[in-house]
Amino acid sequence: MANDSELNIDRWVESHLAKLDRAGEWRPDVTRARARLDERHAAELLRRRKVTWVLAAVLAGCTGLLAFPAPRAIAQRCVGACESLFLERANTAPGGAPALAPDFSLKDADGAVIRLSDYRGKVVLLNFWATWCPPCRVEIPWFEQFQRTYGSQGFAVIGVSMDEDGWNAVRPYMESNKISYRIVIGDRALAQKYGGVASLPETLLIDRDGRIAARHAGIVGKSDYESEIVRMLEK
Amino acid sequence: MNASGEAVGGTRAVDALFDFEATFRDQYERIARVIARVVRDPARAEELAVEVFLKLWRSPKAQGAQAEAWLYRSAVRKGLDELRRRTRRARYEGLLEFVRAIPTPEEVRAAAEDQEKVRFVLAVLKPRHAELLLLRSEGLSYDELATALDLNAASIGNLLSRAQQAFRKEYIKRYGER
Repeated sequence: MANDSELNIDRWVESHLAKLDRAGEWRPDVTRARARLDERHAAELLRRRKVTWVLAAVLAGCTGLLAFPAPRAIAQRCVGACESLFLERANTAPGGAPALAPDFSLKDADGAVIRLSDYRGKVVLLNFWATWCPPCRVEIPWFEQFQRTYGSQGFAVIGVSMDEDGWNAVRPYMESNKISYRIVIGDRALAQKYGGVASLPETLLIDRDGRIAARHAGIVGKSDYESEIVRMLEK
Repeated sequence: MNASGEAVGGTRAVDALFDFEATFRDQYERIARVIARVVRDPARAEELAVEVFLKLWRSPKAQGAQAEAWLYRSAVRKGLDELRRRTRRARYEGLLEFVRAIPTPEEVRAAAEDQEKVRFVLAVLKPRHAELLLLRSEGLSYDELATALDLNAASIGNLLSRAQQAFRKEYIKRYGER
């Protein structure tokens, strides 16, 4: 009985679907379709070629632009901003607490070892800089002044030079500019530990617990730094 | 591959065993007819059939021994997509009143209306059900259906039965037993 019912439904559906069959002499035009297919195919090839050329032109344009200092600086700044934004998130531990600043152990100009972890209990201004970087040179006298003013209250500046020539470039610069705070020579590995330093200057303020409290890519106003330092020292 | 196939088939390195031109020559008419059963406009069906072959040309994975099954499946899907698109548009435009109108005694018009009723029901069925019914009514065997729709051959009978019941239920709900 069930089989009969299924058979009936099968026939019923078949008869209804048969209504879709076209009556009359209609026949698809294969020749026209062949021509249309070739036409569509040619149009698609042309479109792909155009897209390739446009992409190549955009790439060449961007590469050409990066050869000029100003666009390159802007691009570096953008990359730096993105990276610092990323790092800000990455450096925030679950629950919103700032992450610990990665420790390092490097020698200063006198050959003495500087360990960041030895500065636990102090507020540290960690400045990535280079002798060839004009905004970095603007900030150095400020940091020098902060070191003199707040050094006795548990504040310290550590400069991390990213000069490729190392001490050959940094030592004469320190002497001619009378930099008294401690400087170390950084490298790509250290920069990576800090999430990558894409542009200079880049400055971190590390609180007494060794946590990154603030991070600034590029030059920031002297008063802004000072108010942050004072606030951190008061905590 | 012959000379006339060079524009589409011959300019790229596809599976050496796959002859696009021969497949087009052998299958185009049938594929256009499959689509024409689903969409009302034959000219549109021909255009959609060209699109199916263009898609085959773009899809190296579809070329080969399974190309025929792939073409049927794509043709039915193309037709159903077009049917649903038109049905949606007609619904928005309030043009579907004709499916509720009292049939006229004229045979031609009645036949056309019957076709539209079947098409409307196919448009509102689950896509898998509609695909199964259309491919089955094209004469595909259970094995061919399984290959075309990438289904287990053992479950085809059951799925087809459900699709038929769904079609009948939907049709009767809308238009009665006739």
